[in-house]
Amino acid sequence: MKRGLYIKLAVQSIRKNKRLYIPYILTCIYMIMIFYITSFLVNSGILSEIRGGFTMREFLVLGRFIIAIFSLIFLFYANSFLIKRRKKEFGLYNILGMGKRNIAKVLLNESIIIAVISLIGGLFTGVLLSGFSKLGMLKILKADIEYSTVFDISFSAVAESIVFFTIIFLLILINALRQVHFSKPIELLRSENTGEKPPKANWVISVIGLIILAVAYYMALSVKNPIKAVTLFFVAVVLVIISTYMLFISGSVALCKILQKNKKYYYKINHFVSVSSMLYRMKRNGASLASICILCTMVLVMISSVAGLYVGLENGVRDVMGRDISIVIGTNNIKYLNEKVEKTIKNVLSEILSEENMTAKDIIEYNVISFEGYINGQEILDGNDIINNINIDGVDKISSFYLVPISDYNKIMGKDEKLNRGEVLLYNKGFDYNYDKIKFSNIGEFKIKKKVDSFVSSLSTYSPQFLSSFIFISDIEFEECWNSTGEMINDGIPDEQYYQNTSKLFKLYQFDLDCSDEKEIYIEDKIHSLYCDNFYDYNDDLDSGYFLYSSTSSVAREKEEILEIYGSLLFLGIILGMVFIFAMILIMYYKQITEGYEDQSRFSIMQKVGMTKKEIKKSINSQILTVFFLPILIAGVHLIFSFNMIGKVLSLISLASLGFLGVLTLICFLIFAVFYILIYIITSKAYYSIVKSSDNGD
Amino acid sequence: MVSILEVNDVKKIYTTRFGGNKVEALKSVSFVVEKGEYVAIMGESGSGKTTLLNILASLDKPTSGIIKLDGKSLSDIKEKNISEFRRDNLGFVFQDFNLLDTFSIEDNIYLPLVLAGKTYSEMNSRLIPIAEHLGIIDILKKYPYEVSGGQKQRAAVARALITNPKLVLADEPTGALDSKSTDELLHLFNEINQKGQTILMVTHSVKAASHANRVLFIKDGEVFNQIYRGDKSREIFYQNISDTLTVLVTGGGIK
Repeated sequence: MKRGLYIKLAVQSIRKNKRLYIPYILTCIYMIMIFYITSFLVNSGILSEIRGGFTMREFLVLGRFIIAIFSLIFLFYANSFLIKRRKKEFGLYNILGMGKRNIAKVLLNESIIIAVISLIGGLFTGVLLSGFSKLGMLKILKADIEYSTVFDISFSAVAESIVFFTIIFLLILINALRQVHFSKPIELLRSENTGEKPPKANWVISVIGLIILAVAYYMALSVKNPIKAVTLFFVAVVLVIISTYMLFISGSVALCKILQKNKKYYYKINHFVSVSSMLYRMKRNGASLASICILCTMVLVMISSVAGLYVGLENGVRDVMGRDISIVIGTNNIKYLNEKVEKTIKNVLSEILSEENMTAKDIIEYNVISFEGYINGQEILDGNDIINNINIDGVDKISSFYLVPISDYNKIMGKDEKLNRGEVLLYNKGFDYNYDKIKFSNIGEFKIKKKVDSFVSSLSTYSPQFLSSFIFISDIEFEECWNSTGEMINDGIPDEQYYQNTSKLFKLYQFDLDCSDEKEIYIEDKIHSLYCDNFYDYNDDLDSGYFLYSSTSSVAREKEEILEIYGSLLFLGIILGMVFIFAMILIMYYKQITEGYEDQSRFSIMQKVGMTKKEIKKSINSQILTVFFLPILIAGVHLIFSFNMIGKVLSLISLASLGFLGVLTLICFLIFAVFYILIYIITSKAYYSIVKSSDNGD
Repeated sequence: MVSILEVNDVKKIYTTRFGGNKVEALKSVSFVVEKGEYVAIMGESGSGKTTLLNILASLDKPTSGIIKLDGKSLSDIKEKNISEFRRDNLGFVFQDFNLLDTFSIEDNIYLPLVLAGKTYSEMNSRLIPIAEHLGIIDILKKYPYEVSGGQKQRAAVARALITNPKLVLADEPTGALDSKSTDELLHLFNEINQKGQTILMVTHSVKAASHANRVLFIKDGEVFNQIYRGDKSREIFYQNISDTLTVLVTGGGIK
């Protein structure tokens, strides 16, 4: 046979099977497009110019890897589906005298055609959209870069895409050839007409699935400790995945069986056909529906939590930090934090500010003794006692304690509180402490004169979950502590552990600046480097084992650092979400088509027996609605139950409140649902046109 | 005798999808079926048998002509009521059984009754005597793929009978059965007929036709001939049918 014939045959068979091939080619184009865009962004020089570019690059490289793996698996799946549907055609070719060698040649030509179309289409759309995605990426990173060259092509990305997808197409072709090679012509012809046993309900698996799901849900709902939530999160995810598969595969069959046994329910027009067909549908589709459900859940969890991190960023940083710039001067011995040091600090600061022609506003300064305490009922274990008592379970009972003199409090908050010896004001976050006395195992006990409900900053990390407490104490006692703590700290605790677990003495200077974020960071850097120089000199003078340190921080820098990570994560989440959604569309579409062909004969029988077209349509509708929306519904349920746990995990790193996260998740879910409904409308059209074609057949 | 089915000058012309060529499937068919009759329709492939059956089953509409079932004209029934009418008045037996593989035999038989909105107890009380008569009591809980062709066809007969139809339409009911099952089924049809059920059967098989009271021969879209069994033995009737078929096929116009 001539080569032209093979090409002709290949083109014809793609055309004849356009219902199967067009979506497949579109998927290939889409995957290539996304791969190209990701590759384009990875290769783009702009990432080295903008802040956060490095992190973004790392994430994009990871994302490209995931997309590559996913494309490979997914296109393999889609293609094996195509081959399965076309086995009859191959069988016919075979019987008509085409050897397997000839069929292989047709397949080869088909693959070449598909590969060429997909690569051209994918790269074309990729190049077209890469500019926009670059703009989107810059927007997410909040980079103020003038970006004029919207349409540029990265040739290395083009080359990467071509090489990678050519390999995928080659592997797919080999797999298809293998499938054709190992089949017998008669089997090929018959492959669609094998009678199917009625599925048996596996009650054991269903019940185990339910139990596992209940355990996972209970875990997610009952977890209170954020650290524990992290460790349990993965356990819960695995349990949910396992139970979802179990329930979709055998639980659904069991449910149908139960419904069938209820004769009053079962023998109704609306239920009779639907329930019995669902039985078969679920048996065949259980696994893929479970996969879709898990994909949905993952996409939703991923995007909503990352979005939660990203959006929550703006609100919280300042609340925690108190002022734009914070300078901490700390030591492990009070005698080194003297007036000479204080003077140096202030001089350096005013020097820098006048150089930059800026003024510090809302300046506050206060002294802090900080230490960790383990809350054990009323008693709080501090110092060495923590080390002896801490374990994972106790992590959520550890609070940072900040001792601040009452005069500093009054100055900063504009109050006039007076304290006697042994009296304190308490401001605590994250835990209840409803006693009239606060007892420390080392420092001693104090009477709580009043609880106050705010202070200028919370000093601790951004997490609302971490506990922190301010104890405002009379100036005299503060000084005593200040003097004694210096020694107490080092008592019995080796130097190496100093940073890990014990107290610090420090002075805090905080002020606001009226300038841009960039300027703020610039000034912070300047302060930091000058202080470092100064304290380096000081440390030479100190006795061995003692030190002075300074650290600076600014709202702008904190925001930037978080933005880098969360922005990159968000961008990656969006890209992967888009890949997964498209994958889902294709799975759904093929599912509908398969079912359409299977249902065709069934519905023509029902029509002969006396079912009206309206009843048939109603029955079809209820079935595809169930099959279609079951995964997203279950995903929604998973999401609701996981919410508490995700909130806890995110609370470790996020500023967002739980309510805010809820709203975000809901928005993500709704957007997703809209997509989903669109998919439904498209694919059910394909389904109906297949089922209806049986009408004309007779 | 009361006529249950009247077919009067029915014509069916198909227009091919492309080019608008017209194919005359039925030229002019007229006949009457009395209540309690067992009529077989024979003819070659392409003679219009299946078209006729589809029209009688109200699955297709004639181009012209009138069909009356129990005095009621099919063309007077509105499109949306047609399925209901079919369900209530007609029973079908097909060559390839047309059982749904997702239903057990029992549920397959119930299907038309469920569509008619009957309760389970009523359906069950109707099913038991029929199933006993047809000898399928033991396989009611089984699925179509588990039973033999003969059993499937008996289940299909049960499904056709359970609505107490005015007319049972059978389309090559023995076409997919072995000879033993064929004999059993034909015997069954005779029994049902003797109980008063009107049957109209389209068939290729002379043997099947010889069980009927009357055989109509269709050729080129018209009723070519018809013969009654009368008091003849089945062997003689078989011979008559066979002879008529020979004439039909060899094309002679002699009656």
